[in-house]
Amino acid sequence: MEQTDNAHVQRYLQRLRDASTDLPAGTRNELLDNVRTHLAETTTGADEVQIRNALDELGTPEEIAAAARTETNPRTPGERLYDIATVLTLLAGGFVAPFLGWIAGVVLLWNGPRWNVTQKIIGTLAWPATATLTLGTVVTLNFVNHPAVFLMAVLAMIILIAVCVHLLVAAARTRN
Amino acid sequence: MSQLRRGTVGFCVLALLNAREHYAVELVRELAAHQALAAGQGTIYPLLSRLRSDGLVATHWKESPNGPPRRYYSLTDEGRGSLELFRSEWTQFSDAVDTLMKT
Repeated sequence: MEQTDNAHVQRYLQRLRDASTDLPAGTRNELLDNVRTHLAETTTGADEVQIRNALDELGTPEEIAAAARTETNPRTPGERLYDIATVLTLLAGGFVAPFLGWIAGVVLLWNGPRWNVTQKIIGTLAWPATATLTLGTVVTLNFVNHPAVFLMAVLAMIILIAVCVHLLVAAARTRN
Repeated sequence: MSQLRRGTVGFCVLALLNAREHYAVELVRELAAHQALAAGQGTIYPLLSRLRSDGLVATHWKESPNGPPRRYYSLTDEGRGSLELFRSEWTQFSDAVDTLMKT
Protein backbone atom coordinates (compact mmCIF):
# COMPACT_ATOMS: atom_id res chain seq x y z
CA MET A 1 0.00 0.00 0.00
CA GLU A 2 2.89 2.39 -0.68
CA GLN A 3 2.39 5.74 -2.38
CA THR A 4 -0.95 6.42 -0.69
CA ASP A 5 0.69 8.85 1.73
CA ASN A 6 -0.43 11.84 -0.35
CA ALA A 7 -2.43 14.28 1.81
CA HIS A 8 -5.44 14.37 -0.56
CA VAL A 9 -5.56 10.57 -0.71
CA GLN A 10 -5.29 10.32 3.08
CA ARG A 11 -8.08 12.86 3.57
CA TYR A 12 -10.25 10.98 1.05
CA LEU A 13 -9.74 7.65 2.85
CA GLN A 14 -10.50 9.29 6.21
CA ARG A 15 -13.77 10.66 4.81
CA LEU A 16 -14.65 7.18 3.54
CA ARG A 17 -13.94 5.70 6.99
CA ASP A 18 -16.18 8.36 8.58
CA ALA A 19 -18.98 7.87 6.05
CA SER A 20 -19.05 4.07 6.40
CA THR A 21 -19.14 3.56 10.19
CA ASP A 22 -22.67 2.12 10.06
CA LEU A 23 -21.76 -0.68 7.60
CA PRO A 24 -21.17 -4.25 8.86
CA ALA A 25 -17.49 -4.58 9.81
CA GLY A 26 -16.66 -7.13 7.09
CA THR A 27 -18.30 -5.10 4.32
CA ARG A 28 -16.62 -1.91 5.53
CA ASN A 29 -13.13 -3.43 5.73
CA GLU A 30 -13.45 -4.92 2.26
CA LEU A 31 -14.64 -1.57 0.86
CA LEU A 32 -11.81 0.39 2.49
CA ASP A 33 -9.29 -2.18 1.34
CA ASN A 34 -10.59 -2.06 -2.25
CA VAL A 35 -10.58 1.73 -2.44
CA ARG A 36 -7.10 1.89 -0.88
CA THR A 37 -5.80 -0.60 -3.45
CA HIS A 38 -7.53 1.35 -6.23
CA LEU A 39 -5.85 4.58 -5.14
CA ALA A 40 -2.46 2.89 -4.78
CA GLU A 41 -2.87 1.71 -8.37
CA THR A 42 -4.15 4.99 -9.86
CA THR A 43 -2.01 7.50 -7.93
CA THR A 44 1.39 5.77 -7.91
CA GLY A 45 3.85 8.10 -9.61
CA ALA A 46 1.05 10.57 -10.41
CA ASP A 47 1.44 14.31 -10.06
CA GLU A 48 -0.86 16.57 -8.03
CA VAL A 49 -3.33 17.18 -10.89
CA GLN A 50 -3.54 13.49 -11.78
CA ILE A 51 -4.15 12.58 -8.13
CA ARG A 52 -6.97 15.15 -7.88
CA ASN A 53 -8.49 13.81 -11.11
CA ALA A 54 -8.25 10.21 -9.86
CA LEU A 55 -10.11 11.21 -6.68
CA ASP A 56 -12.78 13.12 -8.63
CA GLU A 57 -13.40 10.16 -10.93
CA LEU A 58 -13.81 7.88 -7.95
CA GLY A 59 -16.80 9.95 -6.76
CA THR A 60 -17.35 11.27 -3.25
CA PRO A 61 -16.68 8.93 -0.28
CA GLU A 62 -20.27 9.55 0.85
CA GLU A 63 -21.58 8.38 -2.53
CA ILE A 64 -19.51 5.16 -2.32
CA ALA A 65 -20.68 4.50 1.25
CA ALA A 66 -24.29 5.04 0.13
CA ALA A 67 -23.80 2.54 -2.72
CA ALA A 68 -22.41 0.02 -0.23
CA ARG A 69 -25.45 0.55 1.98
CA THR A 70 -27.75 -0.19 -1.01
CA GLU A 71 -25.85 -3.37 -1.90
CA THR A 72 -25.80 -4.73 1.65
CA ASN A 73 -28.59 -7.25 2.14
CA PRO A 74 -31.15 -5.90 4.62
CA ARG A 75 -32.29 -9.39 5.64
CA THR A 76 -31.02 -9.06 9.19
CA PRO A 77 -34.32 -8.41 11.07
CA GLY A 78 -35.81 -11.83 10.22
CA GLU A 79 -32.53 -13.58 10.89
CA ARG A 80 -32.10 -11.87 14.25
CA LEU A 81 -35.66 -12.83 15.20
CA TYR A 82 -34.93 -16.49 14.42
CA ASP A 83 -31.73 -16.47 16.47
CA ILE A 84 -33.36 -14.86 19.50
CA ALA A 85 -36.43 -17.12 19.32
CA THR A 86 -34.17 -20.19 19.14
CA VAL A 87 -32.15 -19.23 22.19
CA LEU A 88 -35.25 -18.28 24.21
CA THR A 89 -36.96 -21.57 23.34
CA LEU A 90 -33.83 -23.47 24.28
CA LEU A 91 -33.56 -21.65 27.60
CA ALA A 92 -37.20 -21.46 28.71
CA GLY A 93 -39.14 -23.78 26.38
CA GLY A 94 -38.89 -26.56 28.95
CA PHE A 95 -40.84 -24.45 31.47
CA VAL A 96 -43.69 -23.81 29.00
CA ALA A 97 -43.97 -27.41 27.78
CA PRO A 98 -41.83 -29.77 29.88
CA PHE A 99 -39.25 -31.62 27.75
CA LEU A 100 -41.11 -30.89 24.45
CA GLY A 101 -40.23 -27.18 24.69
CA TRP A 102 -36.57 -28.06 25.09
CA ILE A 103 -36.78 -30.47 22.09
CA ALA A 104 -38.25 -27.63 20.01
CA GLY A 105 -35.32 -25.42 21.00
CA VAL A 106 -32.81 -28.11 20.00
CA VAL A 107 -34.52 -28.55 16.60
CA LEU A 108 -34.43 -24.77 16.01
CA LEU A 109 -30.79 -24.70 17.08
CA TRP A 110 -29.67 -27.45 14.68
CA ASN A 111 -31.64 -25.84 11.83
CA GLY A 112 -30.02 -22.45 12.54
CA PRO A 113 -27.52 -21.53 9.81
CA ARG A 114 -25.47 -19.19 12.00
CA TRP A 115 -24.05 -21.66 14.54
CA ASN A 116 -21.22 -24.11 13.97
CA VAL A 117 -21.33 -27.73 15.14
CA THR A 118 -19.41 -27.00 18.36
CA GLN A 119 -21.89 -24.28 19.32
CA LYS A 120 -24.83 -26.55 18.50
CA ILE A 121 -23.42 -29.31 20.71
CA ILE A 122 -22.81 -26.85 23.57
CA GLY A 123 -26.37 -25.51 23.17
CA THR A 124 -27.84 -29.02 23.14
CA LEU A 125 -25.90 -30.20 26.20
CA ALA A 126 -26.48 -27.04 28.28
CA TRP A 127 -29.81 -28.11 29.83
CA PRO A 128 -29.11 -31.87 30.28
CA ALA A 129 -25.68 -31.14 31.78
CA THR A 130 -26.84 -28.50 34.25
CA ALA A 131 -29.96 -30.52 35.20
CA THR A 132 -27.84 -33.63 35.79
CA LEU A 133 -25.40 -31.65 37.95
CA THR A 134 -28.20 -30.19 40.08
CA LEU A 135 -30.11 -33.47 40.45
CA GLY A 136 -26.83 -35.29 41.06
CA THR A 137 -26.14 -32.98 44.01
CA VAL A 138 -29.62 -33.61 45.43
CA VAL A 139 -29.22 -37.38 45.13
CA THR A 140 -25.68 -37.39 46.54
CA LEU A 141 -26.65 -35.33 49.57
CA ASN A 142 -30.08 -37.00 49.80
CA PHE A 143 -31.43 -33.65 51.00
CA VAL A 144 -33.12 -30.94 48.87
CA ASN A 145 -32.80 -28.02 51.27
CA HIS A 146 -29.04 -28.32 51.60
CA PRO A 147 -27.13 -25.05 50.85
CA ALA A 148 -24.95 -26.95 48.34
CA VAL A 149 -28.08 -27.77 46.29
CA PHE A 150 -29.02 -24.09 46.22
CA LEU A 151 -25.48 -23.16 45.16
CA MET A 152 -25.53 -25.84 42.46
CA ALA A 153 -28.86 -24.53 41.12
CA VAL A 154 -27.48 -20.97 40.97
CA LEU A 155 -24.36 -22.24 39.19
CA ALA A 156 -26.57 -24.15 36.74
CA MET A 157 -28.56 -20.97 35.95
CA ILE A 158 -25.32 -19.02 35.40
CA ILE A 159 -24.01 -21.73 33.02
CA LEU A 160 -27.32 -21.76 31.10
CA ILE A 161 -27.40 -17.98 30.72
CA ALA A 162 -23.70 -17.91 29.72
CA VAL A 163 -24.38 -20.49 26.99
CA CYS A 164 -27.38 -18.46 25.73
CA VAL A 165 -25.35 -15.24 25.62
CA HIS A 166 -22.56 -17.10 23.81
CA LEU A 167 -25.03 -18.40 21.19
CA LEU A 168 -26.59 -14.94 20.68
CA VAL A 169 -23.18 -13.28 20.29
CA ALA A 170 -21.99 -15.98 17.87
CA ALA A 171 -25.14 -15.60 15.73
CA ALA A 172 -24.88 -11.79 15.73
CA ARG A 173 -21.27 -12.03 14.57
CA THR A 174 -22.24 -14.33 11.68
CA ARG A 175 -25.15 -12.06 10.66
CA ASN A 176 -22.60 -9.30 10.05
CA MET B 1 -32.38 6.43 -15.44
CA SER B 2 -29.75 5.92 -12.77
CA GLN B 3 -31.94 3.13 -11.32
CA LEU B 4 -31.91 1.34 -14.68
CA ARG B 5 -28.14 1.72 -14.95
CA ARG B 6 -27.58 0.50 -11.43
CA GLY B 7 -29.61 -2.61 -12.14
CA THR B 8 -27.79 -3.44 -15.35
CA VAL B 9 -24.18 -2.44 -14.70
CA GLY B 10 -23.66 -5.64 -12.68
CA PHE B 11 -24.44 -7.67 -15.79
CA CYS B 12 -22.08 -5.49 -17.84
CA VAL B 13 -19.38 -6.50 -15.35
CA LEU B 14 -20.32 -10.18 -15.78
CA ALA B 15 -20.16 -9.75 -19.58
CA LEU B 16 -16.65 -8.23 -19.39
CA LEU B 17 -15.53 -11.05 -17.09
CA ASN B 18 -17.00 -13.63 -19.46
CA ALA B 19 -14.35 -12.60 -22.00
CA ARG B 20 -11.45 -12.82 -19.52
CA GLU B 21 -10.58 -12.09 -15.90
CA HIS B 22 -10.02 -8.43 -14.98
CA TYR B 23 -8.65 -6.51 -12.03
CA ALA B 24 -10.88 -3.79 -10.62
CA VAL B 25 -9.18 -0.71 -12.08
CA GLU B 26 -9.29 -2.35 -15.51
CA LEU B 27 -13.02 -3.05 -15.14
CA VAL B 28 -13.64 0.54 -14.08
CA ARG B 29 -11.76 1.89 -17.11
CA GLU B 30 -13.67 -0.28 -19.58
CA LEU B 31 -17.04 0.58 -18.05
CA ALA B 32 -16.18 4.29 -17.92
CA ALA B 33 -15.06 4.19 -21.56
CA HIS B 34 -18.54 2.96 -22.50
CA GLN B 35 -20.17 5.42 -20.10
CA ALA B 36 -21.86 2.47 -18.47
CA LEU B 37 -21.32 3.59 -14.88
CA ALA B 38 -24.27 5.18 -13.08
CA ALA B 39 -22.15 7.21 -10.68
CA GLY B 40 -18.54 7.68 -9.57
CA GLN B 41 -16.09 4.87 -10.26
CA GLY B 42 -15.84 3.98 -6.58
CA THR B 43 -19.41 2.65 -6.58
CA ILE B 44 -18.10 -0.36 -8.54
CA TYR B 45 -16.55 -1.77 -5.34
CA PRO B 46 -19.75 -2.35 -3.34
CA LEU B 47 -21.16 -3.89 -6.54
CA LEU B 48 -18.17 -6.24 -6.94
CA SER B 49 -18.44 -7.25 -3.26
CA ARG B 50 -22.11 -8.10 -3.76
CA LEU B 51 -21.42 -10.11 -6.94
CA ARG B 52 -18.82 -12.04 -4.97
CA SER B 53 -21.03 -12.72 -1.96
CA ASP B 54 -23.77 -13.84 -4.38
CA GLY B 55 -21.26 -16.33 -5.80
CA LEU B 56 -21.36 -14.86 -9.33
CA VAL B 57 -17.68 -13.88 -9.41
CA ALA B 58 -14.57 -15.24 -7.71
CA THR B 59 -11.40 -13.36 -6.81
CA HIS B 60 -7.71 -14.06 -6.41
CA TRP B 61 -4.62 -11.91 -5.96
CA LYS B 62 -1.88 -11.70 -8.56
CA GLU B 63 1.46 -9.93 -8.64
CA SER B 64 1.50 -6.81 -10.78
CA PRO B 65 4.49 -6.13 -13.07
CA ASN B 66 4.70 -2.60 -11.64
CA GLY B 67 3.27 -1.76 -8.22
CA PRO B 68 1.22 -3.52 -5.53
CA PRO B 69 -0.55 -6.91 -6.09
CA ARG B 70 -3.95 -6.78 -7.80
CA ARG B 71 -7.20 -8.54 -6.95
CA TYR B 72 -8.46 -10.27 -10.09
CA TYR B 73 -12.15 -11.03 -10.66
CA SER B 74 -13.36 -13.97 -12.74
CA LEU B 75 -16.76 -15.39 -13.63
CA THR B 76 -18.07 -18.47 -11.78
CA ASP B 77 -20.36 -21.07 -13.39
CA GLU B 78 -23.25 -19.50 -11.48
CA GLY B 79 -22.24 -16.08 -12.84
CA ARG B 80 -22.17 -17.47 -16.37
CA GLY B 81 -25.69 -18.87 -15.91
CA SER B 82 -26.94 -15.57 -14.53
CA LEU B 83 -25.38 -13.69 -17.45
CA GLU B 84 -27.03 -15.97 -20.04
CA LEU B 85 -30.42 -15.55 -18.39
CA PHE B 86 -30.00 -11.77 -18.36
CA ARG B 87 -28.83 -11.75 -21.98
CA SER B 88 -32.04 -13.35 -23.26
CA GLU B 89 -34.33 -11.26 -21.03
CA TRP B 90 -32.49 -8.07 -21.95
CA THR B 91 -32.81 -8.73 -25.68
CA GLN B 92 -36.58 -9.15 -25.38
CA PHE B 93 -36.91 -6.13 -23.10
CA SER B 94 -34.80 -3.78 -25.23
CA ASP B 95 -36.63 -4.89 -28.40
CA ALA B 96 -39.93 -4.04 -26.71
CA VAL B 97 -38.67 -0.65 -25.54
CA ASP B 98 -37.24 0.13 -29.00
CA THR B 99 -40.59 -0.66 -30.59
CA LEU B 100 -42.49 1.52 -28.12
CA MET B 101 -40.01 4.38 -28.49
CA LYS B 102 -40.63 4.43 -32.24
CA THR B 103 -44.42 4.80 -31.91
